[in-house]
Amino acid sequence: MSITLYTAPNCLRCKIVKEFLAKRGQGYTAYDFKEDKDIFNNYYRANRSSIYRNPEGVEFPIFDDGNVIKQGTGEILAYLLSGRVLESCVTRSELLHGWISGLNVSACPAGQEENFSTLIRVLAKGGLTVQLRSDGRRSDLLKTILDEGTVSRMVLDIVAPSRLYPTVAGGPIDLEDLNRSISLTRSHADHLIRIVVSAYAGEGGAMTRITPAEAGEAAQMVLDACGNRMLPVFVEAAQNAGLEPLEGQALLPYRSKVRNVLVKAEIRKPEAH
Amino acid sequence: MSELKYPDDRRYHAEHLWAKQAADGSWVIGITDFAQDQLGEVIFIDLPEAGAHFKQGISCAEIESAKVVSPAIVPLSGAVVEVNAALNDTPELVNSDPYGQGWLIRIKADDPNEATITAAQYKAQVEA
Repeated sequence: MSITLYTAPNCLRCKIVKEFLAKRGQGYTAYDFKEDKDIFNNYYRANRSSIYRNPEGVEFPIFDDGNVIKQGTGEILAYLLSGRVLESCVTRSELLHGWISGLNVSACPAGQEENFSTLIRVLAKGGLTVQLRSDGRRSDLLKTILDEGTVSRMVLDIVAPSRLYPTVAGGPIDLEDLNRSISLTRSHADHLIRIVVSAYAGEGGAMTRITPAEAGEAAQMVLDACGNRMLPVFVEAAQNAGLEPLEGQALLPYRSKVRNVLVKAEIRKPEAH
Repeated sequence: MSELKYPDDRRYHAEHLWAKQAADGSWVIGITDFAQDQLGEVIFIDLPEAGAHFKQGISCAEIESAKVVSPAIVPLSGAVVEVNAALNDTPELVNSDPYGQGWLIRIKADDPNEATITAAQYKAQVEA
């Protein structure tokens, strides 16, 4: 299957993908959207419904192997490393300008640890600033990756109370594992711990939000795991399509339930990128 | 950079489109030199169907460059009589000839006396 890349001039993310392909001896054809504009414009017109645009325009590089179109350097490398297996833990980066996110260590499927670590290493060595995310699970893999020193910012998201973890995060959470993830996160120079007001498909498939009481339960789970009432945490609403945004006053009941348990909890606004 | 041009043989709308009356009384509509310069190289234009009706100030088309997707706000209310089919294959005409071959649509205006602005007023707005 032949690989085609559509790239932009001076694009670090494009360079990383090209170097990765070259290192593995995989051939590809690259077209620059400015220099080869006729080829790119024809491709764009034929495929525009499949092409993602970030807030600053078309996301480059665009990878096309005849089977799939992929964008996002993390997602392209994940696909090259292990097909679609890493799709659960490598998703679209919300960060631009040299940063990359969308990397969730806790969702890494068993047997893919080496590929996931390689991915983080290639992104960081290629010059991107890596934000890694955990939901408290897989502290073993988190330690391996943090020990390499390639992660610039560590985000720990507590996404639900323990009983809802399988539904919201895709797997059960263990308090020992969570405690280790908290310690590892706190030992990183740039870190953030959030109690996330998640939305998930509830009974009947309708989107449901975690309630303030459930956020309080999640905070209690954190306290049970680490024993530290003074743990600095932020309460933040996940941004979800299909639900009204939850902001300002609406977050106060969440903060009070969390503060009953973790006294330093503060509300945090989602970052504008 | 060469200076952007705003010919005064046509009417303008603050949202960067112009309208010029054709010999048959219909109005040809396109984007201004300023708009094409801001967009950068246009790579696709999603044009409306003939017959569609748009009110002044409403978007009739989406103009896409690698940088942005921008609406095309019609300067006069009316029904589309013709779209510029050449733009399907050569959308860059909007960049190279925004006041000529890069026109977007031709409409039958509901009210030719609808308020618009002059070239001088438009120029003052974009250069402010």
